[in-house]
Amino acid sequence: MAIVDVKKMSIIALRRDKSKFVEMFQRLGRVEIIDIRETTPGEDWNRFFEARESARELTDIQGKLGDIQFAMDFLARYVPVKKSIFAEKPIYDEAAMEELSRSKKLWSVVAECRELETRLNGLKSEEMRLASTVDMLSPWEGLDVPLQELKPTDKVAVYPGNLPSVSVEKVKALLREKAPESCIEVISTDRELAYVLLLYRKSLEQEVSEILKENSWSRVELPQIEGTPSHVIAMAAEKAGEFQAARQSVADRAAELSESRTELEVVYDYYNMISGRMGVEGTTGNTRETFYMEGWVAGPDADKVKKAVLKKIPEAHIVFSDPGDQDDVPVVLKNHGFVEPFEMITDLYSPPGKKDFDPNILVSIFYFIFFGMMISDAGYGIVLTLLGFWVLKTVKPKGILKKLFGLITLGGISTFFWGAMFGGWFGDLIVVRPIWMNPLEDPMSLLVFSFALGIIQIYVGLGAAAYKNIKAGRTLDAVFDQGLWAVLLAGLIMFAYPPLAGAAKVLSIAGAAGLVLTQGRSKKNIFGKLSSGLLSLYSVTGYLSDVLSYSRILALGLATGVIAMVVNTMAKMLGFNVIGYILMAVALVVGHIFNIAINALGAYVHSSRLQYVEFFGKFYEGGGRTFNPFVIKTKYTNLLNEEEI
Amino acid sequence: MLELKFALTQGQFLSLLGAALAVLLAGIGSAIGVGIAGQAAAGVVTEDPGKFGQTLLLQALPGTQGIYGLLTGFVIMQKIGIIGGNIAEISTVSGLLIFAAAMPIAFVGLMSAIYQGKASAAGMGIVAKRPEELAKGITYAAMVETYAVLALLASILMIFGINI
Repeated sequence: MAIVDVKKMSIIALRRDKSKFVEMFQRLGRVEIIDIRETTPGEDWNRFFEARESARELTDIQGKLGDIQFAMDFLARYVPVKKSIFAEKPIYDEAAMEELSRSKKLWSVVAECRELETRLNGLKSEEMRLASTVDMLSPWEGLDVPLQELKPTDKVAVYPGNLPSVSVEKVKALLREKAPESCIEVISTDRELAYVLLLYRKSLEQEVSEILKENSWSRVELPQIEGTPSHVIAMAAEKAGEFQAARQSVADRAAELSESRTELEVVYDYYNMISGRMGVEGTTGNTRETFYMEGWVAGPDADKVKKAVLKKIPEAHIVFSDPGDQDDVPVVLKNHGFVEPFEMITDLYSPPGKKDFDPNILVSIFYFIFFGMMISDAGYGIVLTLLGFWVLKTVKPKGILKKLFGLITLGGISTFFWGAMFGGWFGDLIVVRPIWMNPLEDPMSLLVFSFALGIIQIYVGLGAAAYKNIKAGRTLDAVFDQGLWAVLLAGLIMFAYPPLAGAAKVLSIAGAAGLVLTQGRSKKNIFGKLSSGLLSLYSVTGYLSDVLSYSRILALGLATGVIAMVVNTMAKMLGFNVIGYILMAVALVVGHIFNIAINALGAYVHSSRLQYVEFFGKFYEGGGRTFNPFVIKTKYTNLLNEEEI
Repeated sequence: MLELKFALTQGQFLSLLGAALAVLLAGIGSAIGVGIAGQAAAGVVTEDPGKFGQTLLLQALPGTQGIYGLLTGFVIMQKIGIIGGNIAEISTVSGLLIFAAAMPIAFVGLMSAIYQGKASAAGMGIVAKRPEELAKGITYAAMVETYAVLALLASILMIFGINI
């Protein structure tokens, strides 16, 4: 089990069969395509890779994909998509999808969506223009002269403009005195400005402009529109109604069009699938009649893949070989059904690298125990298990979601177990005698138990590191770096139990002395050796903090229990009459759901951390790359796929 | 005046003060932390509304300190009998002990929630650019929470250990 051998598959076949091949691999979903354009060095090879022709086709498909995406987004603005993630996807076969993609009706929907969008944009810009006109004219509403007539004559100048409202009277007086043949009429005033219409005889230009300049006059250009300002404003209000109607008609039409959403989704999936194929087709090396491609296949799948391909295309030449040292080989894991969901935890850290072995069996055991203890409520365990199980059975999620819900199911079982041990059934809602003990009454014992679990995991970590060293032929490293630490730590732990103090002293001193003597072995001179040896003892603090870190198991378990108690206590306060009982039930349900959610998240996060920091820190390097097979990726539909193995 | 001085040295008052501070400070911390993370989350969701669920998960992380504070406050309230309705007689010394026991989660909760909020906000960048690496962002934020968990443990163990 664990890490599976990966083979490199090389294929030479006739070029006319190429698209058949690619389609086949996509349907099989067991091959990771190697882009040999990246792995083959040198310019000489470039002539084997076609660029232009297929690139144009790909751009074309992606353009269509963009159109469909646009139409879906546009329609979703008017008719929101209401689809639960648990809804089942409709099943299609490829021929039906292909036919739908050529449907005239569908493309007319897309075109109409574009049209509606253009119309909306037009509406928006006109509306903005109108709004700014109204804004400008609103202080002039009291002006009862049509705007087109507001022009200077031969002798008389007419200008609209602003004055600071405080200086209006002053300007009026000045004009009366220095330029009697003039007139200023205030149309409206606001806090700062007075909007005025100014008339004067043109021969008085000089005097008037002097007065104006001293009093911060500024001229206003009124828009060139027909009619009085009040008339224009009324018209605009009327227009706003029209805009509203136009908008409504767009919305209505969009609602009608969104009946085609399912078709759009199917075609979206179709083009997505096709563009994936085209991308892969572009990676092959070609001669006039043949093509060459490479891919990664998990060892156990190799024969099945070969057989499936040869059945369809007998004249292909397929060779499997072991990867070379330079190859970037993906990691394929194969684990027992119980362990599989926990692969998610390791993968999120980093898949196993070249020097690692698959840690998932170890991770699964510890994670299972820790997750359950951190929630430790039998009622919550039942809820989590049922939830996970129900989703796995009805929705049948794939990939990481499948693992996640598997994790929830298994975590729920563990939670149930520990809840029964500690007597938590929805907190203290149902009082059941704990099988083992009540952590609220005796937290110290559980604290010690948590530390013990931590010590076990740290020892397993040391063991794993030793195993890695031995497998790599470094037996001495295993003895010095892990064995001696194991001895020293064992001695230190035994001090906790006084009758063993004698043995504890011997073990600790032996371990410590061994470490001082060996940890500096890579240093050249004797002082370097000794000082590094002595310094290495400082790592004891690291081990101490590692162990203490496991106290979170107790803390999170207590937190779940106490929050559940808070929920129960508060809910029970409500239950003094009929309405109260209903409220109490609501409070109980909401409160416990909240508690489950927050503590499941906490248990997930903190169990992961114990693996990542305390456990993986001892032996695991990671840095591998997850196997990423070429598959059909559909978002809205499920493809009928008889090739899948 | 004398009466006030008397009340202030009452064990009941001191215990309740501890409970109040645990809820108060840890709650303030969580409010700030969740707020910081929420601001960053809103930015990410402006670009891609589909990331609401992921960002909400990250935003929720600094919220736990407030819960830990409430939890500690609740344990104290139960200890001194305020929830049942009959407040127990508590000596000044016991009151001070309970007060002291509430301090770890009160202060560590306050500070760790704020810094966890900042770590969560930084994690929003991961969600924006590489949503598949969300778990790493969560782990960074969870590293901060460790100290709140330890403080909670210390507070609760202390409260359990005090005999009144």
